[in-house]
Amino acid sequence: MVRFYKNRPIIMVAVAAIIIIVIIALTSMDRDRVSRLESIVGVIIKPATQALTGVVDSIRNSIAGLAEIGSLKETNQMLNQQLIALRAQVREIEALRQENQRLREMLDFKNTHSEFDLIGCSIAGKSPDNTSGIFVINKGIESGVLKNMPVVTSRGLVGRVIETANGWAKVLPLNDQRSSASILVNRTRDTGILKGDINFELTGSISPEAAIVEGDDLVTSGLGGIYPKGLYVGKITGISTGEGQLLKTIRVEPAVDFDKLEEVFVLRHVEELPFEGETID
Amino acid sequence: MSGWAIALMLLVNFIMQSTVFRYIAIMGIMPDSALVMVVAVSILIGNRRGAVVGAAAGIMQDIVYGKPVGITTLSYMLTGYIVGEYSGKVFKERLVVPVFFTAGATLLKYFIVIFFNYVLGVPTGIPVYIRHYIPVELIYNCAVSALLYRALYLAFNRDSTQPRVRAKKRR
Repeated sequence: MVRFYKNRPIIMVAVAAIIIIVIIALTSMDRDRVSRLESIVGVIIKPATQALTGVVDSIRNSIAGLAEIGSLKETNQMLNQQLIALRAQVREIEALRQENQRLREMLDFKNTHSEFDLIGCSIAGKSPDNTSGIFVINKGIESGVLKNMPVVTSRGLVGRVIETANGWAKVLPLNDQRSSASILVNRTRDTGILKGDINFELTGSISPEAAIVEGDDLVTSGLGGIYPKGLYVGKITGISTGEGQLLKTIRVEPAVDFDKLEEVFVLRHVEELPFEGETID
Repeated sequence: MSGWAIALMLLVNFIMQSTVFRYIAIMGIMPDSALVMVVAVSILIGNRRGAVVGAAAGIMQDIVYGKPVGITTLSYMLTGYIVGEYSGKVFKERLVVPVFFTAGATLLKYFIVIFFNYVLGVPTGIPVYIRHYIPVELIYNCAVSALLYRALYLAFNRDSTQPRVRAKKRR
């Protein structure tokens, strides 16, 4: 039997292809957590990606300083060595200051949102697929991260958890083409739908009667059950009503810079929380 | 080049892809170096093992970042198999061979992605794929293939002179 397949790789590939298509169909449905096998693969890969991300970030931060070293004159070597040491300290202090600022903002966020239980996470890696915005965070079921929990930073909404495992979880950001959220214009209280697209930009649809203007702040509306009410999403940067369109189309500048995420928070037990948050801005 | 060496190469590449590759993105597009490697390896080792290497590279990416799981696995496995089919029929030392197959493999990958997006009801945005993602990634992948293939070719041919590892030739 094995010999039969060995001589006919096309049959082997066809059988494998059918199995994969079944897996695609099964995993495209909603599931709470990944399988045991997937979980193990993630646990192996996560520390490496996380460490490398950290190393690259620190290298990138010090490249400016290192580039200058080559151009220094020999006579000034002593002084420059001191200078470099001092610069390293300054960079370190600056990094600490920024971290302090970030953590302080997050603490503020935590204080103003005492109704949420926040789980601090860092980003372990991002999808190599150019059309996917999915990223992996370093906490999973063991820390209480569950499917559909919102992911935020101190600036605003990032996205939601789509699958979890032990020690890691997949996050679908708001600007991915598979993402959508129900939104509320903070000033006029009009509701609408916000979607990501293939270009990783946010566009939304809102009732044509809505008296919205560019610069209006958007928050989540709490409809739909995934995102609690009042999480800050971003600002309207463009409004258009195309011919034959029933709804106003809005372009939205997200509050979060999706390319520069480092630390995020997962909001825990949203379904048990009262759906009456306050706005963050 | 043994199976373990190929597996290690794919693993290291995958970790690089999900961490540092965003710094070498051109117009927001990262090269798909895993696909490039699957193509190059399949030219050198043939269809059966090419399909296995493709499936292995794909499943790793799918498990960690895929939603749903399997689309990358399917496209890489088919790439490995189809390219491997030509393993015995092309001049392996010519650089145009991997570059040509890499271009074809990139098109196949996007065809499969768009097909499953359509079937699963994800908004596809085909014009954006055609205008932006496919041409930029195709050129980038071909360039990476041209740079990478020579090194892999030499690694495989050095192995074939050693007694323990046989050079795999189809028929």
